[in-house]
Amino acid sequence: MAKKLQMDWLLFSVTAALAIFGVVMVYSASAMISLRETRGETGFFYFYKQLIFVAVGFLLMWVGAKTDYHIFQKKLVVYVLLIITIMLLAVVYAFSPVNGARRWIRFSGFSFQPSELSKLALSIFLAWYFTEKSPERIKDVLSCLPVVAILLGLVLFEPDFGTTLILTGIFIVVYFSAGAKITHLLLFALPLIVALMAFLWFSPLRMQRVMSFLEPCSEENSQGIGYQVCQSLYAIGSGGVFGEGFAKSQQKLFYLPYPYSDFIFAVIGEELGLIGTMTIVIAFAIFLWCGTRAAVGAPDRFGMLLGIGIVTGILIQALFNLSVVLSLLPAKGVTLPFLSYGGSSMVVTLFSVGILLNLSKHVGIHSIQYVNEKPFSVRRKRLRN
Amino acid sequence: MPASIRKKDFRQETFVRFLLIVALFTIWLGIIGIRLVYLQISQHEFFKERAISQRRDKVRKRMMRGTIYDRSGRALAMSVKARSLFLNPQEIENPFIAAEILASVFKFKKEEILKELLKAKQEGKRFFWVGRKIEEEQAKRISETLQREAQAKGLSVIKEQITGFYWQEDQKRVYPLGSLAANVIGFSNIDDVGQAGIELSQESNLRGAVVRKWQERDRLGRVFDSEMEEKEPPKDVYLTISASIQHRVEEALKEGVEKAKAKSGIAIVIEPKTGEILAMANYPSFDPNFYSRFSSELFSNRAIQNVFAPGSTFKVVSYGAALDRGLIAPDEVVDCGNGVIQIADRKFKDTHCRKSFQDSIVVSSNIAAIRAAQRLGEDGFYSYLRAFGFGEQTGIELPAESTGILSQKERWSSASLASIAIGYEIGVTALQMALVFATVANDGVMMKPRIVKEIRYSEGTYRKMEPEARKVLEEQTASVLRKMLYQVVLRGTGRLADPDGYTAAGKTGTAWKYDEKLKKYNSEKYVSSFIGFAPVQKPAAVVAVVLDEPRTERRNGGDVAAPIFRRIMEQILPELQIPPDEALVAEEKIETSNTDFSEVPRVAVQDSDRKTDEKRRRKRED
Repeated sequence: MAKKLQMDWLLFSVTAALAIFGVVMVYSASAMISLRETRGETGFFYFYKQLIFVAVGFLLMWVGAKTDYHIFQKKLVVYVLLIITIMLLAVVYAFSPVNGARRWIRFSGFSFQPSELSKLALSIFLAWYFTEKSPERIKDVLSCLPVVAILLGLVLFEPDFGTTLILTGIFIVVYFSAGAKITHLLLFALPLIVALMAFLWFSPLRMQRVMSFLEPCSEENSQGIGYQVCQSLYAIGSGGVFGEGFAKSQQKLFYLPYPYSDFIFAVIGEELGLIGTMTIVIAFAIFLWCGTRAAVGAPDRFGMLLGIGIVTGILIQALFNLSVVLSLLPAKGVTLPFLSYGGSSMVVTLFSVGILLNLSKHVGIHSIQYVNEKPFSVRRKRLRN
Repeated sequence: MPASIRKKDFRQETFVRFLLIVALFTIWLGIIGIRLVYLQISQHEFFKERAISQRRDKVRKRMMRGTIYDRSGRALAMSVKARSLFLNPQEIENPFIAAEILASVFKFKKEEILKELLKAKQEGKRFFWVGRKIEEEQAKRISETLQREAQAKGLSVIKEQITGFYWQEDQKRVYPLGSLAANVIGFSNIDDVGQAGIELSQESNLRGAVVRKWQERDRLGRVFDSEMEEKEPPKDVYLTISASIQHRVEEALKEGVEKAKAKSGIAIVIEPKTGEILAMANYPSFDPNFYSRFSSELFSNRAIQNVFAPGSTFKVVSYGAALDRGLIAPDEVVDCGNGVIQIADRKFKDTHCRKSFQDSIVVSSNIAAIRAAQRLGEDGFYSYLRAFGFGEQTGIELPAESTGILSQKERWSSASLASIAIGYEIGVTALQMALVFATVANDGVMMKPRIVKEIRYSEGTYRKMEPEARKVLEEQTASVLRKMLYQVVLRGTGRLADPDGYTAAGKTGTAWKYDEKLKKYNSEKYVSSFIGFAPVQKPAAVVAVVLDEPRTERRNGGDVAAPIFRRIMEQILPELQIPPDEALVAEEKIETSNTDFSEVPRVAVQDSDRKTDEKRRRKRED
C-alpha cells in the first residue's frame, strides 16, 4: 500500500460542528418547553438527552470509521441487517401510536425509530445488490423491488411519509448512479408519478393541504393547515440579517411547532439571522462536497454506491427539511440531520458518516489495490457464455 | 475489453451520473440560499411585524376613578372592579341560540334580543353590549352559567370563552351611603365621567387616565413581557362634609319638610371660623347608585343653584351695614310714622312702632330695616351688598353655582333701596345667605366657603385647600349683631329655634315668592327660612334652613324652619364637642312679653291679600 490511509478531516469537522451546534440550538429551542413539561424543574431535559445522543453517535462514528466498509459487502451481514430492520419496522406496529403515528419502539425508558435505521439498511442493501447484479437488466432490478417495497411500505404505513420519500430518493439516486437505463427509470417513474397525481387528485382536501405551502400565511391558511409553516416564516423573517440573538427567539414560545426538532432551522433563523442560516446551508454544501469526494473516490463499486446512498440520504433529508421550513415544499415531518433533536436519527446518521469517513480513507488507492475486483455477475455470465 | 478498463468505465459512468445528482442538490441548496435572502432581508420587516402583532396585544385600561371621602375618611363615592359583557355579532355562530342563552341568564325578552342581535349582525357591527358594569362576583357567576348553557346548547367554548362573547374589565362607581349628600357628591355616568356635584367639579382630579399596555404573550396566552404607559394616577378628594352631621341634618330636614308639607328644603351647616361646609342637604334627593331612576330635577344642588328672595333674614345685612357705619344704635328708637311709610309709589306698612332697633329686629320690623338702609344711602348700602358677595358666586368647589340676582345700582328704582333692605328685589342662594350669618358669627370676617378639604395623591402627598378670608364688618359690629340676633331667638320670631342646652342666635325669614307669570310677588307661595348660629358667644356652627312653599297653616320661617334649625343644632353641637352654654348665660335672659307681631314684610299694602295674611298672625303660647 503506497499511500497512507488518511481520513477526510474536513468531513469529520463539518459533521462534528453541525452536531455540536445542534446540541446548543436544541437547548435554546427546547428550554421553555422542557420547563413546562417538567413543571419548572429543569430547562435542560432535551439538552442533556441530545448531549448523550451526540456522545453515543460520535462513539459509533468512530467505530464506523475504524471498520472496513467491506464488512457490509458480506452477504450474511446484508441479510441480517435487512431482516433486523424489517423486523424492527414490523414491531413498531405493536406499540400504541403517538400523535397518530407508530414510529417508535419503546423499552425501559429508551425509544428507537427503526425508520432511521431503514435509510442506512437500504443504502447498504442497494450498494450490495447493484454491485452483485446489473442495474441495466430489468429482471435484476425487478427482483430487488420486493425488498425495497417492504421497507418503503412498512415506513409508509407507520405513517411516515417524509422518510418514505427519503427512502424513495435513496433508491432512485443509487439506482440511477449505478447505471440504470433511462428507459427503465422512466418506466418506474411514470406509474409512480401517475399514482401520486391520482392520490392527490381524488382528494381535494389533501390537494388543498399540499398546495397550502404556496401561501401559508394567507387569511384562510395561517390559522389552519398553513399554521406551522407560517409560524416558521415569521420566525425566519423576524431574524433578519443578524438575528434576535442567541436564545432570544420569541416564536419558539409555543408558536412554532416542535421548535427543537422539525423546525429547529426556524429558531436558528430567528436567533442568528441570515448569517446563521447561511452558515448552516454552507455547512451542508461542504458536507455534500466531502461526502461526494469520499463516495466517488471510493476504490470499488460497492464503496461508491454505499457512499452515494449515505450522502443522498442525509442531503435529501436536509433539503426536504429546509424546503419545508422555508415553505418551498409542502409540509411533511422531516427532521434536519445533525441539528434536530432525536436519538435514533443522531446515532444512525453519525454512524453513517463514520462509514463515509472510512470510505474517505480509501480515496485515490483504488486503481492499485482493486484492479482484480470481480466483475458483475451478469457480465460474468455473459463471459461464460 | 480488459476487465480493468470495463471497471473504469463503470466508475466513470457512476461518477458522472452522481455528479448530475450532486449538481441538482447544489442547485437546490442555491434555491434555499436565495429563499433565505428573500425571507430574511426583503421580507424581514413584513414578517417581523406579523410575528410581533400576533403575540403582542394592546390593552387599554382605565385606572380606577378616585374616591370621594368625607372629612373623617368615610368613602362617599368609590369605584370597584367590574366586568362588562359584549358580543361580536359577526363571530356569533348561531344568533338564535345566543339569544336564547342571553334571555335565560339576563332575563331579557328573547325575541327582542334576537331582533337586535340580528340587526347588529346585518349592519356589520362588531360590538354589541349585553351587560355593563357587572360586579366581579356576579360576573363570575354569570360567566359560568353562560358557559354551561352554551355547552349544553352546542356553542363552541374555547378556554372558558364562548365564541363571540367577550368580557371586558371595567369599573363601577358605587356610593356606599346611598343618597347621603347626593346633591353635593353628584354622580358619574356609565362612561365614568362626572355629571354633577363634586364628581363633575373635581373631574380632573378624580378621572382615571386610560393606560395603554402592550403585552407580549406566548401562544398559551401567558404574558412574558409587557410595557406600560406612564400616567399620573387619579387623586382622591376629601370633602369638608361630615357624613354623620350630613346624616343628622338630612334626617332633620326631611322631617321638617314633610311636617311643613313644603315642596322642598335646603339645609346648610358651615363652620364660621374656616368656611368649611360641614353639611349641605337637599330634600327631596336621589340615590346616585340608581340615578337613572330619578327625575333629573332632583340632581341639582338647590343650596347653591336656587335663587330666592330672602325676605326678613336679609335685614341682618341692612342692620349690619348701618351699625358698621355707626348710623344706628341698638337702643335708638325708630321713627316709623304711623306705621306706614311711603317711598316713591310704594307704601311699606308696619304694625310695630316706637321701638328700638334691637326690639325691631326681634319682631322683624320692616320699617326699622328700611330706615337703617335709608341712612346708608344707595351708595353705602350697595357697597355692603357687594362686600357680602351678593350678585356673584361664592366660589365654592361645586358646579353650576348661581350668582344670585343683584341689579346694578344705576338701575335701581327709587323704591329699590327699601325693598332690598327687607329682602326683596334681590335674589340670593341659600349659601350666600348662610355666609352673611357666618360673617357675623366670625367677627365680621367672611371665610370663602369650601367643600373640598384636600386632594390626596396616590403617593401619599396631598394638597390642602387654604382658607381665604375677607373683612366685611367691624368686629364690634358683629358682636352687637350677635347680641341682637340672640334676642330674636330668646324672645322674638325665632323662639322655636332655641336649642336645649345651648344659646343660639338667628333670624327668621318668610318671603313671598316672585311669580314669573304674574310678574309680582305671590302672597300665596312662601319661602320660609331660618338662619342662625350657636353658641352665641363662640359660634361653632352656622345653620341655614330654607323651605320652599310650606303649605301648613303656620308656615312662617319661625314656625317651620326654626324647629329644624333647633333640632340640627341640638344634634350637631355635641358631635362637634361643644359644651352646653345655656346655663352660663341664663341670667342674661330677659323676660319676654307676649308680643303680637307679624314678620312677613308687606311689599304692597294695597294688596288685598294683606288682610288674609294678618289673620295668620301667630299668637305665641310659650
